[in-house]
Amino acid sequence: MALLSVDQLSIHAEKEEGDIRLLKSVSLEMEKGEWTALMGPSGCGKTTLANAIMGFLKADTFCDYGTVTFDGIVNVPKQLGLDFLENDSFADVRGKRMAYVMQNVREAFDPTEKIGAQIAELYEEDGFFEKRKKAIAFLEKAQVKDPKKISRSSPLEVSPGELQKVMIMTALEKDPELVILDEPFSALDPLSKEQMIAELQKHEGMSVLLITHEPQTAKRLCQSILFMDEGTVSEKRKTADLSVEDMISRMEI
Amino acid sequence: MLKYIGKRLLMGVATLFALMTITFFLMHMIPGSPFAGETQGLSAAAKQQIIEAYQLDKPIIVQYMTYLKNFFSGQLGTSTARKGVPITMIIANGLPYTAKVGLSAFITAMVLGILLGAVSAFSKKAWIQGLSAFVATIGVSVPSFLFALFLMYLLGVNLKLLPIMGLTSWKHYIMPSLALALSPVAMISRLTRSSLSEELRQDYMILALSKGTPYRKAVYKHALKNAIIPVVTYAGPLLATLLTGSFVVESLFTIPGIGSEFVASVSGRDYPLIMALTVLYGSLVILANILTDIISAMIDPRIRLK
Amino acid sequence: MSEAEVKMVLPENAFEKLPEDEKNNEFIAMKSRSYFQDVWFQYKKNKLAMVSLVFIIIMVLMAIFVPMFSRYSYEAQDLANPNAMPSMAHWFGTDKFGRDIFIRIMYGARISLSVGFAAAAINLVIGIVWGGMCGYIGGRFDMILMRIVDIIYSVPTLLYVILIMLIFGSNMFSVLLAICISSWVGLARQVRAQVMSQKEQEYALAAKVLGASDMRILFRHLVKNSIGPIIVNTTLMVPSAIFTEAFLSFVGIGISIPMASWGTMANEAKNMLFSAPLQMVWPVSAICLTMLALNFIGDGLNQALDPKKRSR
Repeated sequence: MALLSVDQLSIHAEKEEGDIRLLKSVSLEMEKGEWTALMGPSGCGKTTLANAIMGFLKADTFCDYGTVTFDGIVNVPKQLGLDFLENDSFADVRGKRMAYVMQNVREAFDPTEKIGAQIAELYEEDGFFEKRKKAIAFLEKAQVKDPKKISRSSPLEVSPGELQKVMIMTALEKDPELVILDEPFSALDPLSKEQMIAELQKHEGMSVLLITHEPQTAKRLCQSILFMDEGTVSEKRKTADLSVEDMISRMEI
Repeated sequence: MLKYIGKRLLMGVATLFALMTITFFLMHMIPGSPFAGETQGLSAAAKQQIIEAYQLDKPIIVQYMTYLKNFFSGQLGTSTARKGVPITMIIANGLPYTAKVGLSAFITAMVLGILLGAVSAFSKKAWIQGLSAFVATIGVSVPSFLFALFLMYLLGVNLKLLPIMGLTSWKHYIMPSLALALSPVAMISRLTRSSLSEELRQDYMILALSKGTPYRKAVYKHALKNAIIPVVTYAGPLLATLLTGSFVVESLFTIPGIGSEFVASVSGRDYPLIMALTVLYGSLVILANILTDIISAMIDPRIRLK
Repeated sequence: MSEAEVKMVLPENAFEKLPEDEKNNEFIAMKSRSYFQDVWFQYKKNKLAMVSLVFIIIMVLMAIFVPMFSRYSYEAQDLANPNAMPSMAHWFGTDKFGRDIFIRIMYGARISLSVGFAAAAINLVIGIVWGGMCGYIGGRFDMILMRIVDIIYSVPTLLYVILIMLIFGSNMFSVLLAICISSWVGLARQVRAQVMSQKEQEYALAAKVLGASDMRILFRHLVKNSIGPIIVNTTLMVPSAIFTEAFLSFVGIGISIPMASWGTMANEAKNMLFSAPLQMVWPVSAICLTMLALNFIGDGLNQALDPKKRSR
C-alpha cells in the first residue's frame, strides 16, 4: 500500500470574479522512501495541493470532492477557523509522521513571537527553561549565524534564508515518514542549500514531495517527477527517462 | 524601542502644552469670565484673589507665563464656586472614585468584549451568534446614559437587586460599570471576532499545526495574540473615553467623582476648576494613548521596526 | 425525417412558455449599470438597510410636516391635563406641564436630524478639504497640518464640546459648532490616507501627464476614487452627532428648555421615572431607533460600496 495517496481531489476558490477551480480531480500516489518532484508553471495549483495534503485550505477555498490518505488514515482538507476541529483525522500524525516546509517564509512565522519560542513548541513536554535551551541547541545544529541572537529575534528581523533553514530543520526534527517541501531552497545560498540537502538525505526511508522550479535539483534528488498544469497532474515520469531540457520544455506549457 | 518611547513621550508633552494654551486663551475669550477682566459677578475679595493669583493686571503674555509656572509647580489655585477649597483637594477627593469606576468599566468591557468576540468567532451555535448580534446592535444604538437609566429602573427600582446611589460596596460598581461598558463591549467583540477569524487562516497557523502544535494551543498562542493587536489599539482611547465619558453616569448614580465635579464646575462657571480639570482630562487621554502605543509596539514588532 | 418521429423524441411538455416576469430577467442581468446604480442595486439587497432607510425618510417627512399641521405646539402648556396617558387627543400622552408629547417628539426629530445631517455635511467639507490638501501637497505643509489634527484628536471630544457650550451658550449653533470642531479629524485622516495611496496610482500620473490642472486632479480623480469609505464615514457621523446632542441636552448644557430635544425630554422624564415611566419610553425609543436605523444604513452602504464585501 502506498504511504500517501491523493484520490480525485477537487478544490475551488470563491473569488470576486466568480469561482475558480484550483484542483481538478488530482490523484497521485507515493511509496515509502520515494522522492518525488512536483513541477509546473506558477499558479498551476502546486501550493494548493501541498496545503491540501497537509489538510489545510486557504481562505474562501472549498473542497468539492476527493480525499487524502496517509498510511491508511483518510482525511478531507478543511479551512482553518471554520470547521477545522471537526473530523481532523491528521491531528495526531501532523508534525510527527508528516511534516511541511512552506513556501512563503515571511508569513509562515508568527510575527509577534520570538523565533526561539516558536521552535520551543517542538518540545511540548519539557519545562520552560529546558525548552529554551533545546531551541538554542536546535539553532546551533541548523548552523544559522549567531544562534543566540536569532533565538531572541522576531521573524521580521531575520533573513529569509535563515528562516528557511529553521523551517526545514523544524520539519525534520521529529524524524517524519513524509515531508512536503514547497520551494524549500529558494532563499538559500548554494552552500546552505547543499547543507540542507545533506540533512534531508540523512533520514533514510523518508518520503519527500519536493515542489521546485529547478529541473537540475529535481533530476539530481528525485526518482520520479509529476508535472502539473492548470490544476491537473498532466504527467508522471521516471527522472531517468527525462533530460533537463525535456523538463524545461514541460514547465513552459 | 527606547527611541520610540522617547519620541512618543515628546509628542505627548507637546500635545499637553498645546491643550493648555488653547484652554488658557479660550478662557480669556469667554465674556464674563474672571480671566477676561470682567469680574463683576464676584465679590471684591475673590476678585482681588484672582487678580493676584493670575496677575490679571499684567499683559496677557505675562499672565500666560504665570499660568504655566503655577501649573507646573502644582499651584492650581482655589475654586471660585466653593470659596477657599483648593483645587488640588477637589481633584484628590474625586479622582479615586472616577478612576475606580472607569477602570472597572474598562476591565468589564475588555473581558466581556474579547470573550464574546472569541466565542462567536469559533462557535456555530445559533444562540451565541444571536447574542453577539444583539449586543452589537444594542451597543451602537443605545447611548450609555439611557442604558444607565434602564439599568437603574430595572435592577435598582423594580427588582431591587442593586443599590442605585453612591459607591460604598462592590455592588455599587456593577451598574455604572455595565452602563459605561455597553458600547465598548459591542465594539470590542466585533473587532475581536473579525480579526480573529482573519488571523486563524494565516500561514503561521498552518506552519504551527504542521509542527504538531495542538489546535487549541496554536489558537491561544498565535492567533489570539495577533488578533488582540487591533483591540489594544482601540483600548487606549477607550480607557480615556471611559474616564471622561463618565460625566453623566457619575451624576446619575451620584458618584462624587471628578466627572460630576466637571459638570458642576461648568454650570457653576467655576473657571479655575474648569481649567484644571480640562488639563487633567487631557493629560489622562494623552497618557493612555502613549501607553497604548508602547504596548502595541511591544506586542507587534512590525510597529517597532517601521 | 417525418414530423411524427420528431414528436416521439420530444414529448409535448418538453418546453413551456416562460412566465412574463421571468422573461425580463436576462435583460436586466445584461444591462450595464453605472457606479451609483450598481451601489443602489447592492444596497437594495440588504433588507435591514432598506427598512432603516424607509424609517429615516418617514421620520424626516414627519419632522417637517407634522408640526406644520398639528393643533398643538411644543411649548403650549395645558396645566389642567398633566401626565395624561396616551389617548386619541394626545397620541403619546402629555408631560407634567400638559404638553403634547407626540408633537414634542416631532420637534425633537427636527432638532436631532438637522443637527445630525448638518454636522455630517460640515464635517464632510472640512474633512475632504483638509485631508485632501494634506495628502496632495504633502511635505512640510502636510506635517504641520497633521500635527494639528493629532493634537485635536488626542483631546477628548466632550472637553471641547463643553468648553464651546460655555463660550457660546446653550443653543443649536453652539451644539453644532461643538460637534463639528472635533469630529472632522477622523475623516481628514482617512481622506489624506486615501489621497496618498491614490496619488501613487497610474491613472493619477496619467492625468497629470495629459495636462489636467492640479485642482482638477485632486477633486475629480482622487476624491472620486476614494468616495466609498468617505460616504460610509459621513453616514456614521450622523448618529454620533445625534448622540452627542442628546447627551448634551440630557446633562442640561445642550438645547435649553422649553425647546424640545430628545435629550431634554429624557432628562425631564428622568424625574418622573417612577411615577410615569411611559414618558421616558418615547424619547428613548426615538433616540435608539434613529441611531439604530442610521447605523444599519451605514452598514448597508459599507457593504454596497466595498467591492470586496459585496455578496455575489
